[in-house]
Amino acid sequence: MILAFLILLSFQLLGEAVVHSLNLFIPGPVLGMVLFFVALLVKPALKEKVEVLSRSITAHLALFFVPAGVGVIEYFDLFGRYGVGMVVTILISTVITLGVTALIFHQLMKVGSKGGPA
Amino acid sequence: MMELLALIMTLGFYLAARRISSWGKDHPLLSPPVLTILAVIIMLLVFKIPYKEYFQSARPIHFMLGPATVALALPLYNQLEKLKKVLAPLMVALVIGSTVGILSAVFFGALFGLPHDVLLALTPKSVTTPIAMGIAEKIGGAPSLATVFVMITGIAGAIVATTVMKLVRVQDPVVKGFAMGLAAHGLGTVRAFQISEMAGAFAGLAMALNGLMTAILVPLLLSLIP
Repeated sequence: MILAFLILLSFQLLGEAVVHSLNLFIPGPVLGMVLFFVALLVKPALKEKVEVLSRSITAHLALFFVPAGVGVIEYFDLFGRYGVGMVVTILISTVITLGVTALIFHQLMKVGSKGGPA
Repeated sequence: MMELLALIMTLGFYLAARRISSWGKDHPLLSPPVLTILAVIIMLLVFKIPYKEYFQSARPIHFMLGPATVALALPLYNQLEKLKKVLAPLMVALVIGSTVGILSAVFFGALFGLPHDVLLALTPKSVTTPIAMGIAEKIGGAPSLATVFVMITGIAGAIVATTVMKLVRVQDPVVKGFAMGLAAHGLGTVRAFQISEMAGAFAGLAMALNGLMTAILVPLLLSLIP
């Protein structure tokens, strides 16, 4: 469990370090995830070491968003001005993005599984 | 003492929210993170606790977001065979989905008469907070406003995702998860994990890929923003 935590934190640190030194756009933990994925490809034995901890923390991902999410409270006054327009825009855009992404992915997979182009 | 109270309150509300959500058969309106966030906001307003003080105290919980993001590599690795099979359609869906996410926000925002700086902050709404803040900063939008839009998108995505999937008649957990992570980052991923581990794995992947894709596309599409 401690070893697993150490491994995850090390990859996060690696991600943060690369982002910082190359002045990249992406957050350290996201790059850490990519690097950890590559490490798993190279050394599959890593999987067993982190499996138990990894499963329990990804199961509670929702909890870790709470402190940042409560930050919405700081912008209540802005909603007085453009609130409706902003919320409706985001709602429509999110529905369209979900629908278009799913439809395209789904249709392309159907084409692919029918034995390729004629 | 404030630190303990903030932690106990957050953990307690979270457990209660999970219980309510499972009583309601994981109904999208009963999203555990959304319920927990609302409950904490109410407590802060009632007891007049400044957000900064709460955040400082709840930091240990926030800290776990980093290692939890790294840990998302594992469910994805477990789906490696599946990932290899769908890689080409997945990449096409990524490019189109990401573009649609950015342009639809700009289009409807302009339609509703939102000012230029608000439109700029809307462009990275589908991606995870730190990337969104970075993008907003780079193009001259307000990073703090971008953060709020990211949160609203996540909440909206968690609530509408399953309904939209029914509308477009998609049942494949891979496709569902990917669309949720792409459109609604971490909160979409949380919702996808409620469907299945496979959906969650592809949501985590979509979240990471769309973060990168949006960072590339937004500066390219900048001239289209009114």
